[in-house]
Amino acid sequence: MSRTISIDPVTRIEGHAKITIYLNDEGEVRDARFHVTQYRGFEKFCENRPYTEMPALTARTCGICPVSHLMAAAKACDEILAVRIPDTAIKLRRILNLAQIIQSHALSFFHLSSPDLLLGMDAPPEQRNILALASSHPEMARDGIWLRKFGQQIIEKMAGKRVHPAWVVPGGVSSPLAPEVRDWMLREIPEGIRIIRRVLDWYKGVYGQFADEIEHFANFPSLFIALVSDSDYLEHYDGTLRVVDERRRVVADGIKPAEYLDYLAEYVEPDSYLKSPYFKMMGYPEGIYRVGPLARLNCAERSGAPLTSVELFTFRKLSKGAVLSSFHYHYARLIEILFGFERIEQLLNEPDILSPDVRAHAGPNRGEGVGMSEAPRGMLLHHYKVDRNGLVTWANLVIATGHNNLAMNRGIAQAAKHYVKGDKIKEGALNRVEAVIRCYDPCLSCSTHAFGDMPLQLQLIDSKGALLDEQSRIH
Amino acid sequence: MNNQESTEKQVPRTTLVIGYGNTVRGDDGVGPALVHWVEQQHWAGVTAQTAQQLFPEMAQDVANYKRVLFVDASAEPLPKVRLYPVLEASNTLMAHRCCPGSLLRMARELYGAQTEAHLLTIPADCMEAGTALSARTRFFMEEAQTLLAQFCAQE
Repeated sequence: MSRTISIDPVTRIEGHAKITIYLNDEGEVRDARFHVTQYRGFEKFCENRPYTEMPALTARTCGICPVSHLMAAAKACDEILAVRIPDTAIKLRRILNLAQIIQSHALSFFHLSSPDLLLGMDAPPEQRNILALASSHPEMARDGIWLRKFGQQIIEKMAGKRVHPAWVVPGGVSSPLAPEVRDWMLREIPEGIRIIRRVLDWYKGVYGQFADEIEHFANFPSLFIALVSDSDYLEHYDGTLRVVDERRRVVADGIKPAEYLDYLAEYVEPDSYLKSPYFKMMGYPEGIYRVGPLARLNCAERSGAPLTSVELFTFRKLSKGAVLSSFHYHYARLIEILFGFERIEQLLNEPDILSPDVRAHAGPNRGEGVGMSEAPRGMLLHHYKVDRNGLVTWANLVIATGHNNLAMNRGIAQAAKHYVKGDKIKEGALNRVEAVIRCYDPCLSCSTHAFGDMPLQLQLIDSKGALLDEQSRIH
Repeated sequence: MNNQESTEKQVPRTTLVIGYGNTVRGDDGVGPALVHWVEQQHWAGVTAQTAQQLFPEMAQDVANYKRVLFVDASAEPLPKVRLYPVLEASNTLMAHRCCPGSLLRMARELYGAQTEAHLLTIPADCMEAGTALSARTRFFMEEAQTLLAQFCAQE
């Protein structure tokens, strides 16, 4: 008899989701689906709001990565203003964006994923979290706390507060960098670099223990899309989009933000509020692609930061072409944390970093603007249309996690087929299926543009669609 | 000061007051509102912080103080303000946000701190969208302020 297994809730991710695993008559996994059960509605309720409110409004999409939305929104508004913002403002925005990447990646790795790596995929759920880590691996827990706290403190000191700061505005930023804040960051960065290098060395020594997970955690050929600079450097704030295939061959390059609709389309899934973007030239679903840390390292040629360059060189040895296993998102995140520290240090030592000229002032000069940046989870895009009075008439938010929807679905199916065996549903098997999702570090609150603490369900459905069994891990 | 040194060289200060809650969800903002009141009193030896919610990284802040007072709204139908000791969390099931007990436990396990912690809860009537506190919660704030003053005056 066919059965369906559902995982509910998917633990240790941002937001809430459901996984349904469909078994055939032989008890083997036939398919698996990832459902996002939140609905947000930002694209609709932003209509008729002044474009100047969009950074503040869209930042409320998320409490983990609001800075990403500030960046994309402000850049879209810069286009509406038709201004080139001051160089110092660009650098300050870059620093803030990198600080968020540091704190978000630290959250993802240390709080959400390291319990699996340190305590074991088969450990009971109550032992796989940061609190249990504090008992068993206090140094790792302290490292995670220090890194996340530092990233958040940068945001607070530069932008006024850790969550939903209002400092990034159309035309630039609202105030220059204070010398004491710059000096504080420069004092603390060496400690951050020491910590992340220690963690990277540890990780490189242990990830080989997860050879089975590396092989079966969303390990398949796909395209990768990320921003790169015009000199092929790793980028998080500006640049153009590059698309590479599984061999790291460039499929498309130099895609400007305003051209995204020429290359990307979205498919509405019938069983999820999360849409599935795909690369138009290859159609749906063959145009599957991935974004985020793994994609950024696959797309860029160089980093421009010395310690990161060494790590990137080692990372590339994982594969002759693109690194395909989504398990290596963890590795890529750690490298990006290191890059964040090095790049922030470089920017802070720029001669004009304390300049008071941080904002260009203008009124709306264009009826449309597209802003693109790299959020911790991948490429983020805000597209607005405004009327003559600057009121938003239409908005499209294409979120990083949404880009990865097809890949997450395929990854779950792959992992489920390997780890879930009919009537022998073990905790470790279910956790591994969840862990595939955690590799992508999805921000589901962002990507469905729900309130409340929705449980994530695990359902077992037979070949005729009847519910046979149900499990839930509500906390 | 590096991460390891911070564990050894920290000298616990006196009192930390953490008021947490969402300031745009009505009475859920009573914790931050009380913290702002504490800041205006300029009590010696008292540090006040606000937060939307408690995060694991606050464990380091907790470890830096001899005494910590968490201030939060309570959605339970309590008839009065309550002040009671916080025990270390035994249940480790959590994600990326914390309760006072888990912060207390991490402060000890990660930083060797023996911080004494209490929780002050204020009855909340309405947590709908908005920045205003309900009349009932405002009524209880005076009692909460009295308890805060008594707590912060102790050593």
